[in-house]
Amino acid sequence: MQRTLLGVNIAALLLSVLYLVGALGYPTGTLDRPGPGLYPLFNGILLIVASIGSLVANLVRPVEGELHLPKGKDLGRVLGVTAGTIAYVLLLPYVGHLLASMAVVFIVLHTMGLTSWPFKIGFTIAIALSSFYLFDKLLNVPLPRGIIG
Amino acid sequence: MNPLDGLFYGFSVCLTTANFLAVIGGAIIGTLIGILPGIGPVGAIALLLPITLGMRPETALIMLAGIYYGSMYGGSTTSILVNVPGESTSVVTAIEGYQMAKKGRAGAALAIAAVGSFIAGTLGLVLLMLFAPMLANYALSFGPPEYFAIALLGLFALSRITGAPFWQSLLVLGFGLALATVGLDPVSFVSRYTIGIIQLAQGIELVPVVMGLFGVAEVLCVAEQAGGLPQIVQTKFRELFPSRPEWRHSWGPIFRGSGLGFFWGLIPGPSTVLSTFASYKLEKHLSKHPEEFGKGAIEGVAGPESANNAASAGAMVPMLSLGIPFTPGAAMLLAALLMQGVQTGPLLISARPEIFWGVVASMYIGNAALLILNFPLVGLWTSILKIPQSILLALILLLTMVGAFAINNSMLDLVVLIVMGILGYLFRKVKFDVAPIVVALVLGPMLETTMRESLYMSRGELSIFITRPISGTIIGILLLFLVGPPIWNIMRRTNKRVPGKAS
Repeated sequence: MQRTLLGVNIAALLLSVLYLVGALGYPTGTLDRPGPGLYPLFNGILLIVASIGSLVANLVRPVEGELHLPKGKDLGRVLGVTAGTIAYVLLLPYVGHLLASMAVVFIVLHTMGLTSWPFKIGFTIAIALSSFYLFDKLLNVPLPRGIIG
Repeated sequence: MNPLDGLFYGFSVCLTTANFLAVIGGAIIGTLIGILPGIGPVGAIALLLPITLGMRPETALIMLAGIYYGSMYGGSTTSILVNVPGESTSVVTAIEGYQMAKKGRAGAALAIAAVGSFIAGTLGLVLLMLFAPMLANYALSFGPPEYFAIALLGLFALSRITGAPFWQSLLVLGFGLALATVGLDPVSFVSRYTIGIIQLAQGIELVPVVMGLFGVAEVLCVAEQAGGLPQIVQTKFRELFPSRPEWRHSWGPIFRGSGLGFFWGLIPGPSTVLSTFASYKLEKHLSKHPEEFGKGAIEGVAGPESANNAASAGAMVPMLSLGIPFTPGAAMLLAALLMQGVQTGPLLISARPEIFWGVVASMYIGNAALLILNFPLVGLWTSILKIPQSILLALILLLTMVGAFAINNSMLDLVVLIVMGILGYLFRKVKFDVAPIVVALVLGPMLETTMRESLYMSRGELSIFITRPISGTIIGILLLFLVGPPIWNIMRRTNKRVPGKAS
């Protein structure tokens, strides 16, 4: 846990520096005429101070306990569900909501261990159709139709 | 309008068909959300925001508020029967509630939790009715420096109270404030941090951030653990009546929890959660039999359950009277109002009484409806937990993604949702609290606007923040929050080192 937290703090410090450099690219103006860069400048300083403070606090008083990262099948499920969400985003503009939602539901059901194929296919179609009906028809949310028009 | 007239007006608003359905619908959805470990009230409000866009502002807020306090009720059911807190405010209830369930007193624990929640919710509302208009009247004299000071106090107090290490909370807070600076700046409309993506000029939407940090991240955590179906303690309707000694032991904790919870709700931070811990500690301290705590003491259910409901009413005070949210839940309710184009702030109560009084009255109806729902439908609610996890996760994930997309029909929002989901999951792994991000994202633009307006007003004099009495006092309190705890720690350590003083 300690090592990970140190890594997180160093990454946060680097990002904070990047943010501050970005802030310096905008006109800060003067105190009586503050520009769009003044507030990000203060915030950048806050971020850097907080990153250094967190880093020092971790070094002075190491955090006990272990970092529980998923392994094996647990990791597989996390990656599977993440892949499902990414698949939805990638597919949505091309195949539309109905098919993209079928893809995500199927991936999640499969990843989470639903073994029966008839159930998997049945639930995939039922959930995707219900969500389409709920949002597109009942709530009038225009969802991309894609290739099915 | 005096409170009584206001309340009658509120009832006339919320007894229209649409608003009444919104109260009941919100309470039912809230209970469901509270029962299911997953989205949580903040994620649920975010999820339903797009649906409320077609509603009238008061109807939308009535429904979303119903979800907010309904989830407090729902969370207790699974805590007691399954030892699985549906959301964080029910963690304490699980300690004593589940022990009572194991002794065959699940019904009594559920009943006390429901009655306590009802009484606390109602008392919290009375205090909300009295405090909010008073504060709003007072706030009419506030200018940008006062709003800047309040927002700053809210943010920094939040980082002191969350329970996470101070520097870590400050870092998360800074991250939220940094996210809020993406897009056109609110005063001179200069594009900032858009890294060449035109769509980012409109800024990062709150809803996909919240749904990612709370909804998607939780789905990933549940997917990782993927346990079997929980063992549910069966409860019969006739067992739902507490015995006379159980009632006697509960009245005190209910009323103490109500008062304590409401005032915790006024403090920036995860007040609903912290109020439950504070109430539990208080009851254990006051009890004649503290050794029974941890073994099924009913006071440990009555107090915390009352405290979290009263705290959710307390958290509405700064949101409705100042337009400043101190908790993620209140931030989402405020976001709902802003999306409806409602001008929030101290004028809300007088300019849009139908919203303020409608919501207040709806909470009375909602609390009564929840009491009725929670008694006979306990079996139905717990049976929801028997739905296979794979189907629940697929449903939640799909609803979350469609909800995020539906706000602006924007692919960018979906990308933000996924990035925040992964980030939220990683934050949980390293035990970073994400609540400050939500509040910072809402308060960030206000903080910047009021800071710049104050500096324009004072012609660049930073002393404007401390020379004005109200903002000066608030900045003083803020300094106490920041430097008080370290000074106290140093003094305590010094005292320990001096042998004579240690005793």
